[in-house]
Amino acid sequence: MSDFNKRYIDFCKPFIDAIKEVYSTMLSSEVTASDPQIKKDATSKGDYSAIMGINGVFKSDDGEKNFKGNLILSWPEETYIKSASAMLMEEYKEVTDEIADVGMEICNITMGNAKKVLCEKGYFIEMSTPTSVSGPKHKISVLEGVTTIVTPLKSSHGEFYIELNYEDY
Amino acid sequence: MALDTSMKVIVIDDMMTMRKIITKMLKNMGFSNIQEADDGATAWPMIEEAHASGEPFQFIVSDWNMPKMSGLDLLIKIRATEEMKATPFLMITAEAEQSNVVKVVQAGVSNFIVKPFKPDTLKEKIEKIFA
Repeated sequence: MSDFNKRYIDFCKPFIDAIKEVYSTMLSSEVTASDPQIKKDATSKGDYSAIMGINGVFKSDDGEKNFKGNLILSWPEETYIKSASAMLMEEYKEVTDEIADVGMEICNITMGNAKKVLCEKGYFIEMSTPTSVSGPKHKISVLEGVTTIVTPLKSSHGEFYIELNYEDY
Repeated sequence: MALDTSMKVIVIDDMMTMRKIITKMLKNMGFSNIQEADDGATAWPMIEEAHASGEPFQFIVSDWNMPKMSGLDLLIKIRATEEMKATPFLMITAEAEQSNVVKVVQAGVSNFIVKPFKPDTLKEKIEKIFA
């Protein structure tokens, strides 16, 4: 395995662990991850996506490398509504303004938790602010040549997806 | 300080989701006099005004990472203001690195919680502040 691939895997795992922790603690659901896949086009599998940019510096004995990427969590509408209902401890039947930033908060907490673990591995991330995109088959484009890994996740509120891309230079 | 759930509380977070969760958890603990603000910059004039009116906030629960004024900057401002520097301040953060913990402790935070958290954790942290 190349050094880059090793760093890619090293980099992605804490995000999967973090989303499991968020769902277990605040949404009363265990999450299981299926095999990761390479994302083939810009179309999201979910109807609602929360996105956070990842920028930072990787420090090792060999020196320093800048890195950048994105964390994207994407939920089909039904999973989103059920997840929001669990997190807010209130039942919602549709997407309203009241639950509009639930996905961004889940993304924010996931990033914060992964950041701590990555910091211990030499990846120092500058925290950014989450944004969101919604609508069926919405597209999230990344720079040409950047690979995005999609991991399907299963929870008691339904299936959703975590996407990560990473490049260093 | 004994825990008096009739005290005046302000919950500050830029995410409506987190404000709703914290407010709900506080209400479940018996708190009833709760106001909300969506940023440190929005909260500061509310805190000043409440103080000037003679009914100051007696407990501040704030997120750290907010766009206009962070929870840390708000905490520093509170601790630097003579008449409100003793106000109990609970910081809620998604970032748990040791360096961050040191920063809030040095700034005089009363206690802090790392997200994600359960209602019991919030209760426990609050009880410790007012023990």
